[in-house]
Amino acid sequence: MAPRAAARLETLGFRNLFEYKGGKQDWFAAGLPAAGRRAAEPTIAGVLHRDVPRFGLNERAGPILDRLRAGGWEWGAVVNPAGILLGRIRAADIRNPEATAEQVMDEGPSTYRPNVRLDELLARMLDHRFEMAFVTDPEGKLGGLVTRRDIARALNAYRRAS
Amino acid sequence: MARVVDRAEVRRLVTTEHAQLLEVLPREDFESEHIPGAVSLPLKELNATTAEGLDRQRPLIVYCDDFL
Repeated sequence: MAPRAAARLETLGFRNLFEYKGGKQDWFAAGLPAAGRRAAEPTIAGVLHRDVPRFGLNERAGPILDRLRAGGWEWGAVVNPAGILLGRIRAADIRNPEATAEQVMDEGPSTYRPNVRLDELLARMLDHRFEMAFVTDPEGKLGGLVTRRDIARALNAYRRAS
Repeated sequence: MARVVDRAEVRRLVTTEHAQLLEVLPREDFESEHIPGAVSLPLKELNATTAEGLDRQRPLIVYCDDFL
């Protein structure tokens, strides 16, 4: 639609024209501000654990497990130097402390964008029976982790207040 | 021809060149949620008369829902 609108504007004499290819879904998915009727609805950005532990592919499982336990984390993220999410590691699944993150991680976990509504992700978590999810921006850069418990609490608080 | 830009360039254009953001989706979509500062001019309503409301002196960034 935007290319056609830009073409039409060009025929109307507009010259300094740009087309935002990603559109508003790209904007909101990056966690940038929104306006409008739905903008006030709570999103998972509000319950994001940005401090989820992050590890490189070559880090050893032993120290990874130590860090996860020390912080009380069940899950950690494996990222590349640019912060792009590559995989996830569950503390309970670590058996060999000499293994690398690459060897023990689950590859390519499902991710969600920060603009997903709390109720939408909660419904999906209940339907598909999962307790946590990683959140990335449209380029795959890790933002953090959200849990079903936090989402349910935040949603209840929002519903009580509104 | 319009130059295709990404999110970073959109932010730069708005911040440093005072670009206008124009959403061309139906007005209901705009009212539901839009980029702050954007104006609504649905594609179906876009013509010489309605376009008079736009500032020709400033860069104009057109967007819809996504790249499709």
